[in-house]
Amino acid sequence: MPQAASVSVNSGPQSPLVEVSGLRKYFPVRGGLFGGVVNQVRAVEDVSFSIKRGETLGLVGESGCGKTTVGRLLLRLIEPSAGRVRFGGEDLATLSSSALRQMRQRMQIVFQDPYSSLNPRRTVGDAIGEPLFVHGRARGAELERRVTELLERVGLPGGYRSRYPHEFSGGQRQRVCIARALALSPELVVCDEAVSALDISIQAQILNLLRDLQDEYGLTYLFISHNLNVVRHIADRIAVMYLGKLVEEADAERLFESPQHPYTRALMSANPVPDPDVPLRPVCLQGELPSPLDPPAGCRFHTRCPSAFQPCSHIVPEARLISGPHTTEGHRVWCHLYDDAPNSD
Amino acid sequence: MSGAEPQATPLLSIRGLRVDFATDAGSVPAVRGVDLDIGISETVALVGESGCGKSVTAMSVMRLLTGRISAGSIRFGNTELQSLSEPEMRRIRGAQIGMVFQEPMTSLNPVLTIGKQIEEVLTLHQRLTSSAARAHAVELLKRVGIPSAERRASQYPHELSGGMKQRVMIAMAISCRPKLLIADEPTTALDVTIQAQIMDLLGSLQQELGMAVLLITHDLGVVAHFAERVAVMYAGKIVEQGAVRDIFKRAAHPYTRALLAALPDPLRTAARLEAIPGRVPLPRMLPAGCAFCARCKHVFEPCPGVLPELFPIAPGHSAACFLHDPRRAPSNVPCQ
Ligand SMILES: Nc1ncnc2c1ncn2[C@@H]1O[C@H](COP(=O)(O)OP(=O)(O)O)[C@@H](O)[C@H]1O
Ligand SMILES: Nc1ncnc2c1ncn2[C@@H]1O[C@H](COP(=O)(O)OP(=O)(O)O)[C@@H](O)[C@H]1O
Ligand code: SF4
Ligand SMILES: [Mg+2]
Ligand SMILES: [Mg+2]
Repeated sequence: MPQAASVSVNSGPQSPLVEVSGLRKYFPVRGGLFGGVVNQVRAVEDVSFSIKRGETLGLVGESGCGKTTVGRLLLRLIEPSAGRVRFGGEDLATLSSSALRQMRQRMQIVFQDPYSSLNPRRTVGDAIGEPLFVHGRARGAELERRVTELLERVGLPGGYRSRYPHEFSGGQRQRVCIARALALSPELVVCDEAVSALDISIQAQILNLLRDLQDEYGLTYLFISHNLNVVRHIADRIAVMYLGKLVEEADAERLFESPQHPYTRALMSANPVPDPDVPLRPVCLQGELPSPLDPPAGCRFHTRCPSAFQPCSHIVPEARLISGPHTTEGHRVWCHLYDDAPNSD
Repeated sequence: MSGAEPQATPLLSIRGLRVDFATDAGSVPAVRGVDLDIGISETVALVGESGCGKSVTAMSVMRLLTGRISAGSIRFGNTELQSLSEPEMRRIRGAQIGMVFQEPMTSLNPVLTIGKQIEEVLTLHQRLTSSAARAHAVELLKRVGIPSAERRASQYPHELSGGMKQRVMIAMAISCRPKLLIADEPTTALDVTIQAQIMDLLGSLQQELGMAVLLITHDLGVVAHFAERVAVMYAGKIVEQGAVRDIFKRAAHPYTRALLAALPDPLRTAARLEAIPGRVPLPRMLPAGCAFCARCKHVFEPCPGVLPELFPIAPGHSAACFLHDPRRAPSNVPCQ
């Protein structure tokens, strides 16, 4: 994995657009008589990955494991407690606020809920045109032309720009949110459960649209979802999170064919494939998900892991590299079962 | 798995069910003539995209509807549910027909311990001393897989995880050993590993109690693994019915086929999904004929104007599509 010591040489097409290392986010929990910090939610711990230009990294894991927090950290919508995010080779933490503002135009986010991400009182044309206007990219007739173009690009008639969100279906609203995210021609789009609320027939339309836009504009996606089948469809590589930490990362095909981490295996085994002839034999995980306020020591999964052994309860597993078919980008696993494999760093 | 054909004397028999809602914009048809049978200890899945009328159908059976049943009959055993008085219906609800919803939090009382809530259901339908009710409630919690059931019984709903709350809901729903359990999106709000546990629990309870299950869901993966028979709904009507393998391997209705093709399937990866163009018609814009006709790639002359009935395909398998009408079907019927 790229632990680049060099600076700002990442401009070639194969170089990572995004590099995240040692990312941590603790949220303070306030309470008590004086509202002081009484505890902290350890939402994200020591997360490292990179995404190449034009690539889609899928981020999966069950609710509360920290996926959204990683997405927000990536866009610097929240400050990390530790660790570093590089975008196009530049460390976001070292940027001045005006440079950060510039940088933010190159990264956008699309959320799950197209209802709450649009202001009901503003036309969708205003919603899409706003970033262009605010950043001084377009005014007047030019702005109108760009908005029309964006609407048409996401498959809606340009004439819809004067309509209000309530006049649209869920799928159409998600198209509007995508058009708005595209307005500033970003390089990275974080899709946070972007198709999770949509019905199957509409979900397929939006997944196809995201794929077309990627081909056309060379977009890079961080695609966050709890739906394994959707991620398998859209992602080139997949990273799996459990309780704030990465547990495994591999090419999408490889991860589905040969999951290594006991948690990934449990997750895959519980995923019902829509075919009655493919047997479903879920590995049942014992007990409940521990609290992120007090995550287990050692491997965070050890309290529920069917393979846990002596080191698991007190030594944090390091990233190990596994080789095999479809491992062009490396297959990383954080699990003591693989302590003999080479260290990935 | 038992036979995939509907049983001769079903436990539940819905015929010609129509439900309309009065809205500001006039009357909205939510269910437009549904026929559905559920046999004794059978699992039938009712599937379809949001708004197609699944929950309204279930609520009609439970008589918990805010809308109006404008036509049809709902027979449970030998009883026509619609002819019952509200007190009579209350004796059936909970005791003979149990129900589990997607959102356990909204159906649990936040200010009562979970033990008390189960005891209330038990004493509503059975003569039990309070200590017997308590003991029975703890037994039920154990049966649905709640660890340290005695201690948990004195906890409040907010102290439990989503999966545990759903287990409590199931404990309440089965407390009087119902003959039919209606589970409306029981795992939609849950993570996939918890979903597997809950479905496994429902399956084992069904075996143990010999209970029939009406499983309502939009998740075709869940349907493939847990249902014996499947009814596919579209815009308030059942458009196809059959055994689970009829639906997944020999789907006959263009909508069912399109839905299956639109699913991302990890075993059949392709760059593009076969999306269904357009959207479900609004209730007020329904054509006189087949509601799917504007999105259907096989649409032909009778479709927009004439309502297709369910035409038989094979024993227990039928589809509401003129492609399967022996009198009208064009010679080039698309094969499987
Ligand atoms: N602003 C916040 N304050 C406190 N805790 C938070 C905040 N945002 C997220 N969390 C907690 O951090 C953990 C990870 O949350 P999130 O990133 O939203 O998970 P996911 O997107 O995987 O469901 C959860 O335990 C969540 O409750
Ligand atoms: N209380 C209500 N008032 C008006 N319309 C309703 C009401 N409940 C449901 N509907 C309408 O009935 C149709 C079917 O709803 P429902 O059965 O909840 O769908 P689903 O298949 O998602 O469960 C939808 O179009 C919905 O908008
Ligand atoms: S009846 Fe006609 S429109 Fe309806 S699904 Fe069949 S072919 Fe298509
Ligand atoms: Mg999230
Ligand atoms: Mg519903």
